[in-house]
Amino acid sequence: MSKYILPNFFSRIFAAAIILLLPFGVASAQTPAAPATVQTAADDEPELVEFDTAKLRRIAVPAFVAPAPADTPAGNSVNLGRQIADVIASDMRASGLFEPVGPSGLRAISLSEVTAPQYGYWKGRGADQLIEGFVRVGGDGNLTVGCYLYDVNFTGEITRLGFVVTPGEWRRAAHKCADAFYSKVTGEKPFFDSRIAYIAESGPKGKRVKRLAIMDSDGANHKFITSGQSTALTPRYSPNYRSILYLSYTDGNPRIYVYDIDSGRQRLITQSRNPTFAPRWSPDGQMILYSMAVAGNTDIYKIPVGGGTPVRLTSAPGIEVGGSFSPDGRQIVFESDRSGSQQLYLMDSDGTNQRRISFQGGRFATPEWSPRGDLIAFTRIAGDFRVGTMRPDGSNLRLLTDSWQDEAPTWAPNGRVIQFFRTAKNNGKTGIWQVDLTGENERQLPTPVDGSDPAWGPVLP
Amino acid sequence: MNRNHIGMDRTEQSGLAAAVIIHLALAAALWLGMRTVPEPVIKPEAISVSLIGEIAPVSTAPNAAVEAAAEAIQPAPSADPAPKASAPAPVLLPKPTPTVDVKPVSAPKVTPPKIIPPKTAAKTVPKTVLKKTEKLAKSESVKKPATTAKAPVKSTAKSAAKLPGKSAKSGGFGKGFEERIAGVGGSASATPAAAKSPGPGTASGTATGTPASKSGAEVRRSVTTALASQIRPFLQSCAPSGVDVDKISTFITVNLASDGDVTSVAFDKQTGINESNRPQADPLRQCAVKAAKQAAPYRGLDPEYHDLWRSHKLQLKAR
Repeated sequence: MSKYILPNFFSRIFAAAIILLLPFGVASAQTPAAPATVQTAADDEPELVEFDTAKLRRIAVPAFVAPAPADTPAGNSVNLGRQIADVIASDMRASGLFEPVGPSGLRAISLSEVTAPQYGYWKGRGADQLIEGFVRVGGDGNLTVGCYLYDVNFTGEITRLGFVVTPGEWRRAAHKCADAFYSKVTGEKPFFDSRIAYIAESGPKGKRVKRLAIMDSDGANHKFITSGQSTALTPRYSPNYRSILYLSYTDGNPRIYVYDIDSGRQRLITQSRNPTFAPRWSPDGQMILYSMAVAGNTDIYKIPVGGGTPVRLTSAPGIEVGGSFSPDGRQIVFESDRSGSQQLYLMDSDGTNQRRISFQGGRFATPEWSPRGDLIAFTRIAGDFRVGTMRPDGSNLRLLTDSWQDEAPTWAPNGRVIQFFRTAKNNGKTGIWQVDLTGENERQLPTPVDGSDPAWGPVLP
Repeated sequence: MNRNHIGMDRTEQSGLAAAVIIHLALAAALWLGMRTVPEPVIKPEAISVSLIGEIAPVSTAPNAAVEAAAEAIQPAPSADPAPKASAPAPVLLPKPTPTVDVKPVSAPKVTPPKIIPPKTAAKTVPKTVLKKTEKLAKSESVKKPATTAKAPVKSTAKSAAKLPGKSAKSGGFGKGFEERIAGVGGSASATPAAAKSPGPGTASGTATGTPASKSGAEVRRSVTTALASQIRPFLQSCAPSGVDVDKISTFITVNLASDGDVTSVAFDKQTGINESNRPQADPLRQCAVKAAKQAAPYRGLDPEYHDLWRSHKLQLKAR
């Protein structure tokens, strides 16, 4: 009996330890087991269905019908019908959200089809949507362009619009048609019927000629404004499209001019001998923001467009440039190196309440407030130059491009697309590019020569 | 102090000697203990376990509630020996031939459900038949089924009762489901609240046990899966893209007929709208309603559970 005492003693201690630890073991073993009656949702709660949004939608754009072919100053109406379809398809492609097909390669449609589309046929061609229309030459020589937009998948009409234009404005009718479709499908405001000012660059690297130029949003109707004798930079369309602000290096001194498009005349906005640069319009077109360097200190000023006394808005030591108004005109975003490096700051339009908004590392320059007001585009300098956006409070920073040198963003009038210019690393050639706000659909805009400093104007009235 | 040559007094010497003796005794005891033959360990007898499969599709553990449900629809064994001979197979495939008494629930054009848990005899019985069965089972007068129509029905009940695993569960599910949608449960556990959380405490002879409640969720989930697979292509073709569009949730209610067709689609609400995605909110709303309508008729919905998916709420969200 006694020989079992000690082993029993240890066994009891061991057993006691097990008994003490058992609840923990049991508990840990039970923890992962889910209750048998767990339910994902209560009976009255909605069930989640996630889906992907299509990257590209296929749109069929057959040539517009010319029911009574006639000659116009812009060409025969049959050709115009094909050209209008071409412009619409090109606009859709440029948006980056659609994959247009046609008019080349698509069969001609009849007039009756314009109002009664053959959904089955177009579905068989893989189209998600369909744009059809007609061009009719009126007795007064004007064109009536009818646009009918259909959803092939849902077999229904999306919208329809008609425009009466002079033959010379047939492109605008096409842009309006594309805008109507784009707006209806994406929810965004239109932007195809707008213009772009930019700096056209030509000549060798060390002796570049920089001219002010304007063109339609798709690159058509290109026109040089200045001759190139003086270097032009940073143009900005006025909200009413009647004039362009830009910087000109005349006699080696930077000066801001307002160029009147109708008259072709230009005038200085200030008579100061100090260098002035980085001009911007206020949203209502009544004020002009600009920067002026005085005794080594650069500050932001504003002045009425018709002239008057400039009001100095910043006074911190350093370089403060690039002011851009919020759409409501109440705030201004600008860049300043007062902290030691270029960063973005906000202030009220009277210069008060200045505060820094960029804290994400790197330097930030050329801020541009979105027409929608929700975002600020900028150039971020951290090794490479990249274009990105952030909210006005500095949050949600997103870099949209990833190249060696992308800079100087400008917003499409609907705030959905951003243009900028890209400099090639090897040869220094520049080009105008645009990117969708999602960071996708990057594409280069065709220009007759190299381009930089794009400035997107509002939708044409 | 009387100290010896090593500097210890008498008391210290006694203590040291006692310590040595006790240590020696302890060592000896341990040695003896190790040499002792341990008590024989009584090994439990091996239990033979037959594995049905690696993973069972559904739990086959008996549930008190299910058992009760099965018993409830089971005729008294001594009262009616006839059902023993009947097999459940004929009940599994009822022809949708319209009769006066039994109207088939399944519409011919609706594909049989695949996502819903495996069908069993009681599960596939048309509602009216099942109700009849319950009635008959409870009635004392059902001792000798005279009509041929009643025989297979009874055999279903019998088979459900006989197999405490699958069939018993199915019987329980069927009864729980019926009571749930009819709202005439005989006990508090048949209410929706009880059905949502039928813990072990509710399994006291009531018809609503764990399997029935869980199956209700499963049915809803399977309906969602069926609807989602058909709605998605249309959503993808009309949903706009944009910044923060994935933050918008669009809530709709799809009202469905028993054949899977849409009777109406109601827009309920949208959440997650901010300044960046506001332009896409309205097109998304239109797209959601349009897609839900266009995707109809929906396949893979079991008409037997129509009351459960008659009005189905969905939260549509772009990834």
